[in-house]
Amino acid sequence: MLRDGARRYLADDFATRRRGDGAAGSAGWRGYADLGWLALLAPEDAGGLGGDIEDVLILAEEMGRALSLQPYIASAVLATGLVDLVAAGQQRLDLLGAMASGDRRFAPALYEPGRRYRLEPEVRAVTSGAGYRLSGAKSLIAGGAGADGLLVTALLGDGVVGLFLAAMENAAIFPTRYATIDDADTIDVRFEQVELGPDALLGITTIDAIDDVLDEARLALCADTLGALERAVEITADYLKTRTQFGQPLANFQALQHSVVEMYIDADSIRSSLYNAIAVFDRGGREDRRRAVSSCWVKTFDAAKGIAGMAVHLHGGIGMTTEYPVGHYLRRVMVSERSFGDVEHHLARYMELAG
Amino acid sequence: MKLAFSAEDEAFRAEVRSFLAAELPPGLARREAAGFHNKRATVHPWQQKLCAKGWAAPNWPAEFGGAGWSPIQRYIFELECGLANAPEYSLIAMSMAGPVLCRFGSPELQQEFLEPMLKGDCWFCQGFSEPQAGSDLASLRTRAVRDGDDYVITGQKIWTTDAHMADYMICLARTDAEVKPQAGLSMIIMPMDAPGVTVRPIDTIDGDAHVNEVFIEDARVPAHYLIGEPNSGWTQAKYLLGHERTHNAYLGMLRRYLARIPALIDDELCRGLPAAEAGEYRRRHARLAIDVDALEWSVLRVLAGEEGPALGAAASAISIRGAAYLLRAADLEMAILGPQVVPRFGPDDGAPLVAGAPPAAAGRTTQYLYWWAATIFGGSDEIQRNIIWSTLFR
Ligand SMILES: Cc1cc2nc3c(=O)[nH]c(=O)nc-3n(C[C@H](O)[C@H](O)[C@H](O)COP(=O)(O)OP(=O)(O)OC[C@H]3O[C@@H](n4cnc5c(N)ncnc54)[C@H](O)[C@@H]3O)c2cc1C
Repeated sequence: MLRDGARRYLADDFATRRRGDGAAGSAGWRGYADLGWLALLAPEDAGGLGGDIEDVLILAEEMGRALSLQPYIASAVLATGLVDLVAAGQQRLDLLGAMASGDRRFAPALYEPGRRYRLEPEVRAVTSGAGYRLSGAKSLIAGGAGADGLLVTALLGDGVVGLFLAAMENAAIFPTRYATIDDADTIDVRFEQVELGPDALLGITTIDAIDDVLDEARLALCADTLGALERAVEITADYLKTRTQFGQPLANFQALQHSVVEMYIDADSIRSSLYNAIAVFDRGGREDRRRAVSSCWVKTFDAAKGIAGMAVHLHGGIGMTTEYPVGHYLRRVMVSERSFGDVEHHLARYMELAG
Repeated sequence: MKLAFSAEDEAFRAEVRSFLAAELPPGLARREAAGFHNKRATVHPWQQKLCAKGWAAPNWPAEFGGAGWSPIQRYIFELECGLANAPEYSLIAMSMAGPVLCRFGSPELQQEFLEPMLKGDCWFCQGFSEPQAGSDLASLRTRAVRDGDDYVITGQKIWTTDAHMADYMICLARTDAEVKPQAGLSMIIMPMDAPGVTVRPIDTIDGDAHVNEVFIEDARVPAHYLIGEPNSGWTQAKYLLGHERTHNAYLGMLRRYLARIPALIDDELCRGLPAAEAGEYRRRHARLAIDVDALEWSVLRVLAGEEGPALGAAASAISIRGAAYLLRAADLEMAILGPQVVPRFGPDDGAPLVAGAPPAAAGRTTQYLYWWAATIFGGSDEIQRNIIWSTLFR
């Protein structure tokens, strides 16, 4: 039911994007809120639905399939998880409520320039009067463009990691905005002695805890990629049935049938790997969960570019155009495969945990 | 088979190298290394330098102003240009229209076009593919009808590289609809500014704009612009597509990747690349180098004129593996650079850099995406496989 509704709702995303009227804009986010998608993971005591990860993964699949540009994984899955983890008391309830209703949207700012996928921050926060002063830089902040605030990991004076909420309108925050190859907007920011009030520190946390929250976002990104790849396979099979060369549909050529079938098998085995991860996610301890997520990540992104690239190839010239959707799946997975770690990163984590 | 570069070949290599070191403008080489498609104005000065040296057309006969090199020398030149990040220029004129004119053109056409081509003053595009005629090229529908001293051309071309900056198209058109498809085609030089010719750019996923649709409505072309005899276009097209038998190995480009990847790995170690991963990327680099060494020998075997039926299939095999290795090389670079490669490329402003990223990160996704096109154009992988089967095993 959730899947059918989402598929119908998202169906027009690619067409809307082509017309350039901002499917990635705030109206789209409001729509997600109205459908309850932003509240899915928020706990019930904060006005959320307290839903389980499976619902989120279904939505993520549909968003990948529809090439949605909304920063759902960053600003709904990851941001909600971080605030729920770190904030406390009334502030936690207020923030989660505002995020679930779509009134406020935050973007996690975890990664830093020149530090690849390391989560230990070099951004520093020192006490300043009653509040804090932030300096340093963050990069590749998905969903950062147009967000109300950033969720910034920073090193406190005593070497502890804190999570800060920094409002984007702060004049000492210098964002650089650019589009990524999947057409999403991203920002890098510099914090030049940013003065923050005492309540900007949502709480202190650990890198391990952040990595656990990230694992939910990672699974969601695998699901998004699975949805994208399955759609790319469908589009390709359909195209080969309609395109005529040498006096017959291209689908008549067995070489092409077999290529599509290989793509299908690879995509379908990603689904199996995802189900394995979900099963472990519900029951397993931290190590098991981590290993299952990394395993799913490697399975997904070892195959993703090959499947999506083959989809382009089997279309011939038209596959290379931006007017036609199939190439956008390739561009999407090229960004996804290096968000929250890449194949080698997760292979290493898997091997460490496999003992 | 024994084959080694002679002392003369090595002397030639040294000469090419020092010429490139002295004359290739660094700005141009940087643009090329980033993978940005060239604009006519940016490569023109380079072509003029090569022209002055007599090296502008490596694969034309000397009598038409070509370099007059042996196949091995041509190959060395291509490789050194690749390593030095020298850009290609006026590709269709130099490697397609030019050789066809040298071989099939009338003295008047040779007189009119070859010298301006050499100087870079006259650019061509190749108008073969049509919306309904891609792999099945012989089914193309664009017509050229004789009317007095003219041919009148009507139809539509698509995927025409560089049409937006070309002066002329070598247009493959149907001049006889009564015979079997291959037998009724002719190759005609069509001025792109002829009334009735409209060029519409096509945006491609790599972020660049280099292919076009060309709409042709009753464009009038002087009859003597038809190359050779009427209805001999298929022979000429096959000659053209087969002319650069070994060009599609992309060896210059592959050697360029192989040469710069180790430094890229070292560099990324300072930007958080874990040492164990660096080791993995070094192994991938070595595997690619081993494959490219073999590819190079496949090319050398063709150049040495090794006999036998395998020779006919070799160009097809080389082109399939060349494109696959390019994708692997570009993918490896992206993997090494990690998250820094994600910014989208735009033809005018280049690619923005992620904070802290090295300049080498710009344009990486562009190149990777473009190499998927190399599995499609000039005869797709599947078409090449068909050729190999029918040459060797049928
Ligand atoms: C970047 C780019 C630049 C280009 N530049 C030029 C240019 O300058 N001038 C020009 O004339 N053309 C140009 N082309 C066009 C190119 O030559 C065609 O795209 C190519 O011939 C394939 O035709 P198509 O795109 O119609 O694909 P189709 O022929 O429709 O093929 C679609 C898929 O079906 C497969 N297929 C087709 N037939 C068979 C078969 N019998 N058996 C098995 N598989 C088969 C193909 O391999 C492909 O994967 C360019 C293309 C690209 C992408």
